[in-house]
Amino acid sequence: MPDHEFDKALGEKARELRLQPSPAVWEGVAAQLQEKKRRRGAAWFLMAAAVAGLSLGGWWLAERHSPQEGHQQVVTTNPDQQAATTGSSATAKTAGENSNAADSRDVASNQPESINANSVTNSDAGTGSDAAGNAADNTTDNAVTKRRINNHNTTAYRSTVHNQMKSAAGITTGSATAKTSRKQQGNTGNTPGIDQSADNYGATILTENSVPRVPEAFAGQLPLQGKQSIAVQQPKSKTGNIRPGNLPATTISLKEKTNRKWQYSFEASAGVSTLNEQPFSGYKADQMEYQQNSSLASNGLAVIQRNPSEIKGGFSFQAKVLAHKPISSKLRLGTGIQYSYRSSQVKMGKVVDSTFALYNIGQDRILSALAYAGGTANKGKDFTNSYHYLEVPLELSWNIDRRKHWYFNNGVSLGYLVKSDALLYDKDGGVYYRDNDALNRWQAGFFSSIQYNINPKSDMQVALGPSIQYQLTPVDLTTDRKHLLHLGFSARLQWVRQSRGAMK
Amino acid sequence: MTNEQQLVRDCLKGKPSAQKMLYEQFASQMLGVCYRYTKSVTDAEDVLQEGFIKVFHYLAQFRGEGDLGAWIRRIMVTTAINYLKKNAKYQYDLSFTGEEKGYLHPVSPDNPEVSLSAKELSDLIRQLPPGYQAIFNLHAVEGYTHVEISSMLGIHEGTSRSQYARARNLLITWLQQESEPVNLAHYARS
Repeated sequence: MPDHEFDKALGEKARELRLQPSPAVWEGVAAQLQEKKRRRGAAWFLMAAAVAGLSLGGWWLAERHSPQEGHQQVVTTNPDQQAATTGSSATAKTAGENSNAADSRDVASNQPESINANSVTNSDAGTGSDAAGNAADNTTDNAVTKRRINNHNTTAYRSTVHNQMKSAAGITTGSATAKTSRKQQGNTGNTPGIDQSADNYGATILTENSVPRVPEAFAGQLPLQGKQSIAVQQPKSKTGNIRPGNLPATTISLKEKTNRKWQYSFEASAGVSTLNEQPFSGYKADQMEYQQNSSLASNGLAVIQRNPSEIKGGFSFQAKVLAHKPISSKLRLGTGIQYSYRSSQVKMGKVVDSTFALYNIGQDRILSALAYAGGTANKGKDFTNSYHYLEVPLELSWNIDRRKHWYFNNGVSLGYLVKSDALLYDKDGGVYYRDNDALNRWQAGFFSSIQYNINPKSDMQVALGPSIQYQLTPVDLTTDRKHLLHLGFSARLQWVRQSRGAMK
Repeated sequence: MTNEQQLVRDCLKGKPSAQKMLYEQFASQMLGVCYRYTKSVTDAEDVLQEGFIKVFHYLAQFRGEGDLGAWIRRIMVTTAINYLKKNAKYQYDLSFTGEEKGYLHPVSPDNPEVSLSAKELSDLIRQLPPGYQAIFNLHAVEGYTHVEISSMLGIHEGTSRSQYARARNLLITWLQQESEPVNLAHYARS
């Protein structure tokens, strides 16, 4: 029998062998698969928890700061009581006779404007002394009447208020509605002082029924702008009459309104990208990929030594277009599309015959690929591994300070590898080769940046600051520990539609 | 779409039932592969387990163009080779000197009846020293060339050829004697 036939017969016979493994083998496989699934699930859970925690934290901080920065309350009293204003930027008290309260209710010393109550004095206000007396008698009634004035421009507001308060307590401009009892119309001429400290404040005037005097006039001018509202709460009188000056306390609540208009931004970031095992721990190619190929070699036989190249950081760049929706005065959610370029550098040797060097599970594909000898032992030249991703980011942006200069942006992104010429290292063969099928196409990651907005009052704003993005998904399938990290400096151009009629 | 392709798709979706079905379909065949590369059933099962974990991890790379069994077989062989490299008990020296070659004169396979069962033949192969065993398996059973084997094992091509020749001669000797394998120490060290 010829030698090759003998070999063939032996080989065929050997390949026929079938052995039944013990059940413990499958149990081990299943346990490992389950563990991998669990770890993957845990990673996603952690990401979701991080985003949720961030959102809640931001919301809590925003809520915590909002009363000081954006919410003011003004309380006016009857002639014997004081009007008080609380707020982060202003606190003032107004005291005096009810008839003069209007003149002294400029409750916030730093407010640029205030409403002059006289401009909206109800001509009927002083006419119903009997009615007012009745109203005073009925101040224990818990019912209140709300009047709202919603304005889209100052002129319309003032004229409307003036006219309607002459004839009726219900005041409506824009989309607002006002309902009031006819019986109370004559008693609404006096409107408490209102003040406002900044843009985008809505004003709420509450007249509490527990105090028996009605303020007689507005004190100051209301800086009116888009979609502000004023609510006046008065005791509902069974008889419909409240004596002027007998309504005791008027609470003016000034709450910052959130500009919920969509905002758009373009951001570019450039920096360096590295391959990391952990977010801040670099990938050690010589430790992870070097393999001493001498275990089966005979003594005295030369062993091919193949060292992987050190992986150095490379240039990285990303650009994204985002649409943001404010969800509170401090927070906004944004999403859009992002292009990311990442790179790393290795030293590769000369082109080698892949059939000579390659051996791994993807052998069929690698055998047909171009391969390069490992660089360290070959004094090779630099090669740049490049990765191009398209990503969909979901960003939560938090405005840290009240002046709207500092923003803390965080989020997650889901990306897809659209192109790459990266080389992989085959530690068994000691060569670099290209196989895009061995790269993880889908990438999940998180990003963060702190930016300083240099012109927060402009419609077109510019924000600058450092940024970081870390890919939770390994860059390739050959190892679980190779993650792309981008560290860069970002510049954001954002278009924010400011409210019309904003106070200057 | 074939049942095999559907099975792969279901495995990629992470369905445990499909994963188990794939395992059961190939486990006995692959344990046979692992058995030939190792010296004990326990080691063979270790390799099998590690190999199947790799199979499921890299299954996305299988594009369905070739035979799934052959693809899994390559993974098992790779895993077995790596196992041998890592495991100290497979790493003793097999140094042959010119003097020793005298014991290894070519044996003619003029009458080599391969009448053994697959199990008996595999057991015979497993009696080979680890280096011989791996090279014989890779070349004679799996069909790799000596160039490929040299790359896989990190040795020179000539080494692969010579060790294969020695392994083959040993097997033929044992087959002709139809007896227990001779004492390896007689060949390895004199």
